[in-house]
This record gives sequence, structure tokens and C-alpha cells, in this order.
Amino acid sequence: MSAPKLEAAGLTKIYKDGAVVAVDNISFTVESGETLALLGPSGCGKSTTLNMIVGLERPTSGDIRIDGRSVVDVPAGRRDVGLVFQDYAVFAAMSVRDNLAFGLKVRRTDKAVIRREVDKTAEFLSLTDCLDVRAGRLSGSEQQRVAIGRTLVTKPALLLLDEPLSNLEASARPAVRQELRRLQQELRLSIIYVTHDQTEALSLADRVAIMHHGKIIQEEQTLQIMQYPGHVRVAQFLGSPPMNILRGRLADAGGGVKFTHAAFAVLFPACALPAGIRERGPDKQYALGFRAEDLVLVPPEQGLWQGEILGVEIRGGDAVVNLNSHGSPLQCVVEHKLKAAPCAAPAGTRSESAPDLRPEPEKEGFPTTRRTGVSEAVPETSPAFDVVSLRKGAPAGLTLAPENIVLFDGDSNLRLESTLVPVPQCFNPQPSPSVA
Amino acid sequence: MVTEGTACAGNGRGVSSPAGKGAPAGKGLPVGRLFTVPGQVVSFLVLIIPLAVALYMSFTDWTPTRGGLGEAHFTGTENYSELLVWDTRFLEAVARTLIISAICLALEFAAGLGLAVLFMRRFRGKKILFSAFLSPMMVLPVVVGYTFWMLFQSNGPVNQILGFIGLSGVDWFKSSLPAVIAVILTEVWHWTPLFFLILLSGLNAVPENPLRAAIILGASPGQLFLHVVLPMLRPVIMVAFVVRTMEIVKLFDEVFMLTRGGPGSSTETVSLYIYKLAFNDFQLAYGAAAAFLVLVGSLFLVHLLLIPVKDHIMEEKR
Repeated sequence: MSAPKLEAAGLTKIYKDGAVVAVDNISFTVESGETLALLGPSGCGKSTTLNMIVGLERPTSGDIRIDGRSVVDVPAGRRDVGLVFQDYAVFAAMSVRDNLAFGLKVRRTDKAVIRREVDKTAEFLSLTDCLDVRAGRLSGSEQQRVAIGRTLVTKPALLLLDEPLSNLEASARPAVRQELRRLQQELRLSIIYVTHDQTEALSLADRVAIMHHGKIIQEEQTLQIMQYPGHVRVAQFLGSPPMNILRGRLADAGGGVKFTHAAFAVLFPACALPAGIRERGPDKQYALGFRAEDLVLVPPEQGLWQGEILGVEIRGGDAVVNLNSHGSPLQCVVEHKLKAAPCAAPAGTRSESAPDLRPEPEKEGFPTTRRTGVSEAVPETSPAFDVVSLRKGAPAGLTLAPENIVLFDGDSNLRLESTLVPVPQCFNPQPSPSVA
Repeated sequence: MVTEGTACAGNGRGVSSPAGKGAPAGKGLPVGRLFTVPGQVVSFLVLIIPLAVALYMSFTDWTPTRGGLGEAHFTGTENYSELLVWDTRFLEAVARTLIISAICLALEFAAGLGLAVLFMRRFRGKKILFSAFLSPMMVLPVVVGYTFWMLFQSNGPVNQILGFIGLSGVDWFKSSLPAVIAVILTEVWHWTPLFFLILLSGLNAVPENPLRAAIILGASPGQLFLHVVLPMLRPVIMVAFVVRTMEIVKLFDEVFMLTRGGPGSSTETVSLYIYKLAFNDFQLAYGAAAAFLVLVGSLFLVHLLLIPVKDHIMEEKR
């Protein structure tokens, strides 16, 4: 079996005599033709990791192997690694042709070869018309193609992309993302893609490694990581909006255990208990995670528990409702239904400004009934609302579709079980008079 | 492999920008224009009127010994044709000024760039040395000229240092070449700090990532400097040259203090020659014509130097 294209082992970078640990003992591999995304918030150590791989910074400890060869002592220009910067870093005063040729010229490649390779790369990246234009005069996406081309001309073994879409206008990003995808597929490059944008990471990478405070907290196949976050930080970072996290304790309840929060409770039947929970003993903190899409907004009298609306962010077809439930912030995604143009309202009808959380009449058959303990029927998603009518401070009822509930250890923040089968039951530990 | 060819948006004409969107119409309020009146009056009195009088004077044969300017005869372009065709001393002074300027600018640029590169590194005592290297620029030209006149005396420190390293002393002000060298060294000492300061600020403003990109692509330190850093510094270099050129073509004080243009006229610059015409020989009209020729020549020279800088500024605005 051949060695991976890149192997980073125990990579650590410490600045200021130990005061700042930028990268903390991370290990990962990139196989030939594979794209690994390093995903994480700003300051989590992604770019430092790239700098160490490319040779701009020396690791404090650890090893970097490219095609099985340790490159820690190899200077930056001789590692056979290309890096595309966030700000493209084109040589603005040079023509596009000179930019593309730069890497080959400084290696004293034959002029005929340089011309051939530059023309080929320019054609591949649709830069032929720009070859004699000064790079500084190009648009952002053109400059980015120049930066990629300048790197590709040297045929690096590994291509590093440092947030290549961050400086582009939002409207230009999908096209450039497609362009990068094409590059990947046609050239079968081994790529490390650094980004803080989960959409980029999920759409371009084969695997995703989530970084937090210099560590890799989860590394997973792209599709897996969204569904099964292994760490509270991952759950809070991925998704838009991210997962709701509620902290609480577990208590024995009729053979199973009950997660109790100020607002509501979840009963885990004995057969659905994550491994090792009973051995952990009482008084342990746990974190319960569920996606905003699984939290269902219903009229207050129909809710398993109640919350207060803090605000609504309209995103187009749907909207994110921010709620406060017994001191815990929660987010819920509801379908945004635009209200039809108002007709002459018959006398005695409800005021338009009043919040109406009742399901639309035509939606009456919509909620899919599911036995969930005390709650009788939970729609799979929140019914469509005219979200403009959801006013700040209005009460809202909440129920939860429990299939995708995830339980985390409250201390280590690690996930305790990937799936909970059979489905736990949600109920209100202190039913309100209306529900009772 | 081949993708659809897309037209290059840059296309040599710059990127489209939101310029114009929501930009103010550019019509200043009348009250705003009123505030410029004092400045315009002052510039009219101290700049436009004297310039106009001097220009008129340059077309006459006026000298102060023959009464007022009104009594002078209008001679047309006689002064100008005299200067440009027959006055070899003037033409030699122009050529000499240009040669001394070119040598000085080259040396100042080389020394200033070297110092600027040196000051991009960390070393002990950098702050004190920075102030020390800038200090010559703050000294009055007359003081500099007088100081170097003393330094270059036959028994002065310069000859003593030459003696220390086994070289014979030079009579700096008694023959042409040493005198020109003394003038050049004085000027270079005085104004290298300006190049140093401008180039250092330029180097500090060079973006880091293109340099890193070049290193990753395999550029050696020399290639990095020649092919990446210097092209990025070009606008700053041009600005430094423009500023210094405007100053050095007027070279007067140091030469006046060091050599008075001698020996003979071997260090006579054009400013010194005009000074002598006007204040030694009282040929004020002739001197004014010479001054106008120098002004036009200087404007042309600076315009040539400004062309690439103008391009750069316009590009930034786009």
C-alpha cells in the first residue's frame, strides 16, 4: 500500500515561549486525490497548520511527511507544495503571463516549456484573454484563478487552499466553488482546504476535520459529520442555525433514565441508553443536542413546553425563530409563509398584528402523528407561519421530534452515542394546566 | 480540459468598480468656496503677480541701474535665444546640474535602499540609529555646506582619514574633479535620509503574502527582491525621485558654501549661475529668462517622472 500524500503526526506549534499554543498535537492524513477540509472558527490554528505544511513556519514538534518523505527540514520552496492565499497574493505589477510563469522561471525551466505550460494552464482556467493584462487590474475571481494557475503550473504534489473564497463577493462564490470542484475532479489533486465556512467545506471536501483551540476535535467523512457531531463544539459550529444544546442531569426513571432540564424532560428507555451511562454514577452533567429543524413551534396551548419569542431572522423561504425557554436560548426553523394581500376584513376577525401560532386550516392534516410519551402528536416540522406576525415577547409552544436527539458528556463534551434506538420520549415533567 | 473561454473583465482597462454609485454630485456649497478666497488672494499676491512680473521682465533688457521696469525696452525673445544659442556658460551649467543631479540621485537611491532594507531587520540600537540616520535631512543646507567646507579643507578631517588609510590628501577645492566629488558627497550625505525614509515606509507597506507566495514558488532572496519587492516599490521609488529631482535641480546652498561654483566654473550649477547673473552682474531680465527656462525644463523633467506614478494613482482610483 502506498504512503498517503500527506501525513501530519503530532504537529504542534507554540509561540511566545509557551504562552500561546496555536496548534496542539494534531495528526491527520490526506490520501492521493483526496480533499480534506480543515474547518473551524478564526484563530483555531488552521492557517498555522497550513504554514507548517508549506514550510513558512517550523513546527515546535511533530513530523510532516509528503509522499512518505519527512519535509520538516526542507525549505518552503522545495517541498512540492502549493499554497493559494485568501487574498490571492498575485504579483499585481506583473502581467498574468508573468504571474503564471513565475514558479517555473525561478526554477530556471526552459523557456519553451514555460510558454507551453503557461498557455495550457491559462486555457484550462479561462485566462487566455487576460495573459497580457496586469494582474492587479483583474477582478477578484480572476485574480484567484491567476493565483491557482500560478500554483498549478509548478505541478505541486499537494495543493493548499487558505480560505480561497473569503474575499469574493457572495454572489461570485457559487461559480468559483464549482470551478474548484471541476479542478478537483479533472486534475485529481490532493488538496487541503482551509475554511471557516461549512458550506464550502461540505460541498468541496471528501473529509472534514473540525479544529478548535488548536486541536482537531472531530475528523469524519463529510456526510457523517453533519449528522453525527462527535463533540458539543462541532454541534454548535455546524449547521445553520447550529444545534441547540441544553445542559442538565440524568436520573433513574422506571428502568431507563430521564434527562431533566428546567423546561422539559426526555426519557431514555433502558434499551436506548448510551453505553456506560449507568457506570458514570449520579450527579454527572450531560448536554442534550437537537437540531433547530427538529424543534417544532406550535400554538402555546399545544406545546410540550413553552418559550418566549426573542426575535425572528427571515432567511427567504424559511426563518429562524430565537426563543428563550426557562433561561435557555433555543433556535427553531419555521417555514416562512408570505401572507396574501389583505382583503377587506370582515367584522370581528382577529387583528392582523396579533401573533397567530395556530396551524393554517389547510395544514390541519399536515402534522404527522407520532407517539412521543405525553405529547400526543408532533408535526415533523413547524407549520408554516407568517413569521412577520411573530412578535418579540409573544409566548410560543414547543415540541421536539426526538429521533435525532444527541447526548453528550457534560464534562468532556464528547458524544455518548451516535444514534438512540428506540426513540426516547419527550414530556413535560411539570405539565402546565393547559396541557394537563 | 478546455473550458468555455470567458472574456477577461480586466482587459487592461481596470476592474469595474462601484465608483459613481451614490457618490456626491461634487457641487460645493458657495459658502465652502468662500473659505478658499484668503488662500487664493495670498497665492495671487505672492505667487502669480511676481511670476507674471518676472515673465514680463524676461522679455525686456531691464537692469536696476537703468531706472524702473517701466523704462525698460521690450526685446522679445532675445534673452531666450541668447541663452539657448550663445550662452555656453548657461548651457554648461545646465548640463553640469543634470550630471551632478543624476549621480547624486543614483547614489542617494542606492544608499537609501540599502539602509531601508537593513532597517527592515531587527537589530540592537535600531531606534537610535534610525533617528541618527534621519538627522542630516533636518540640518539647514547652508550649515551642511559650511560644515563640509571645513571637513574638506586640505588639513581637515577627510584628508586626515585618507592619511590614516595610507592615501595622500587631496586639495578638494583647487581642481575640478575633487570639487565636483566634494559637492556630490555633501549632497548625498544631506539627502540620502529622504530616500531612506520614503523607501523604508514603502518596504513596510509591501504586502506580506505575495512575498510568501514567491518563497513557496521557489524564489531565492535575490529573485524575491528583484522580481517581487522592487516592482511593488516602483510607485514609491518614483515619488522619491520626483521629490528629490524637484529639489536637486535647484542645487545652490551647498555649492555656494563649498566652492562658489569654482574652481573656474567647474561646479557652477544653473541656480548659482542665475544668482550670479542677477545679483553680481545685475542682469535681472536676463536672469529671469534663464530662471524661466530652468522652470520649464524642471516641469518637463518632473512630468516625465510623474507619468508612471500618475498611472498608478489612476489605477488605484479605478
